[in-house]
Amino acid sequence: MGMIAADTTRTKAYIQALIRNQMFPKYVLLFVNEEDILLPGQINNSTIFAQEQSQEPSKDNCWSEEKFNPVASVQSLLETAKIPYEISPSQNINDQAVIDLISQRPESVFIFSGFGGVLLRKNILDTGKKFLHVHGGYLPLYKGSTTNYYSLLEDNSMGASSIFLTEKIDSGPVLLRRKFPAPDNRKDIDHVFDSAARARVLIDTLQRYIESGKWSFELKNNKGGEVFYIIHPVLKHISILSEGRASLCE
Amino acid sequence: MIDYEYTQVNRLDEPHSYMYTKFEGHDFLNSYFDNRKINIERFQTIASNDGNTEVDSELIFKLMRHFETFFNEASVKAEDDWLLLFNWKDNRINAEFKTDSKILENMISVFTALNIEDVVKTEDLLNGLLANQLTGVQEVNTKEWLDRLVQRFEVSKKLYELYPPGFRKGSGSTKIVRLYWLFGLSLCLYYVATGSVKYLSTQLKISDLLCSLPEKQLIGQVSTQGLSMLLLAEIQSIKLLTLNIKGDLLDFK
Repeated sequence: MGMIAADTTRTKAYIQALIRNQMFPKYVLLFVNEEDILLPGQINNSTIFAQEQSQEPSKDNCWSEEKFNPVASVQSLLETAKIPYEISPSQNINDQAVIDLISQRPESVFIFSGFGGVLLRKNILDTGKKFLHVHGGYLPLYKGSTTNYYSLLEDNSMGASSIFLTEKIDSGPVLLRRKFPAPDNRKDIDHVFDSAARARVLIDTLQRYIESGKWSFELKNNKGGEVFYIIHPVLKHISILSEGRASLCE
Repeated sequence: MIDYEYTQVNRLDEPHSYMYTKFEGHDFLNSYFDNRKINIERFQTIASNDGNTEVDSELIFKLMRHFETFFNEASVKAEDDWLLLFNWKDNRINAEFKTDSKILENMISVFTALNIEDVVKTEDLLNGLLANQLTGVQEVNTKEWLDRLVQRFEVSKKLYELYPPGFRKGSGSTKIVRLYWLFGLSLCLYYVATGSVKYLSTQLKISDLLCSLPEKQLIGQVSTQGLSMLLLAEIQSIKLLTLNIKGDLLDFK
């Protein structure tokens, strides 16, 4: 299995979780940002609220992938774990040079962890490769952007769902989905807990595949639900500051 | 108090993406409340529109009754808060408007004839969405049309005068302020009826846009009383959502 990875906190969570669980991608195509401006999913190191993050696995059953280092260098992580990688010729996954590179790879499935807000167009989906993506929300109810802030407001939970990408947003068949209780430190949702929830579902999805030798689907018909758009900061603040009862880990 | 950056520049000219907004704690929520308070005061100093007086009077009257009923049902405290907000300062929303049910009937009849396969005039659509909700017509296509508008607005942060068949990228002017006001009211009504926060989120962005506009862009297009009504209902919706938050938030009493 290969991996398409942008230099984001989500990628850092994924790679550290994969290494921790002894699941090494055979190849990583890395998207780096050489500009001064942060791209969606990247972090200014000073904005992490948690005092310290370690790579020790958490004892919390639901948040088992919470303890990762969000400011580690992706390249250092890959090099330390001896995972082969190359830098992408473009930041745009839909660029023909990138499509050609992916087409020529022997891996048939790629874990997808690109920059935020990017949609895969027909050309890359037509390569015949499968792109395993973990959406930050419980499908099919919560499609679109920043859905975990909405679900925290509506039922005090977060979610993550693994899918194979299709042209329509968050509508591919669901391999596995989980609900997560509201974390203790809601200030770190963007770069820690959203990533940690997705990493947990990624690991569970891969473990299920390794055990059975095939991809099984929890929900083939991923229809219905709502498409959400970037949450307004007033609602984001209410979601973070609310002190609701923790929901169960499902 | 920290600055509320979302209304600091004209958002018709410089839309905000709202991506990865930073967390600023209680101070941010207080800056939001303060911003809306300042803008309600500002709107009161602007002469009311003279182009749609009869239509706007009807809408405002019905909206006032609608919100009153909703907040009454939400809780006794919510009703008390709404009345306090509503009577906050001399907000000039007059409860004694004359009513004419034909205005809303006409809006619904135009709305009913709209078809996704045709060019859609946005004002007809927005009038119909408001009238449908105010008269309790629970047609499924209220949500369908509202969702289409939400999608179009969230992608571009603009509302176009017209939408072509298929409701793809719009055409015509994007600076008809009245459309944003009507859209904000429709979203607010839909949120209070369904509790679906998605619509409140888009409404907040619409209110930011309206609050960012200079007087010259508001005059003649929007009922200033109606603008206050939109912000007051939004504030009350937000206040209801902040009940689980500890700490002092700005008081409108």
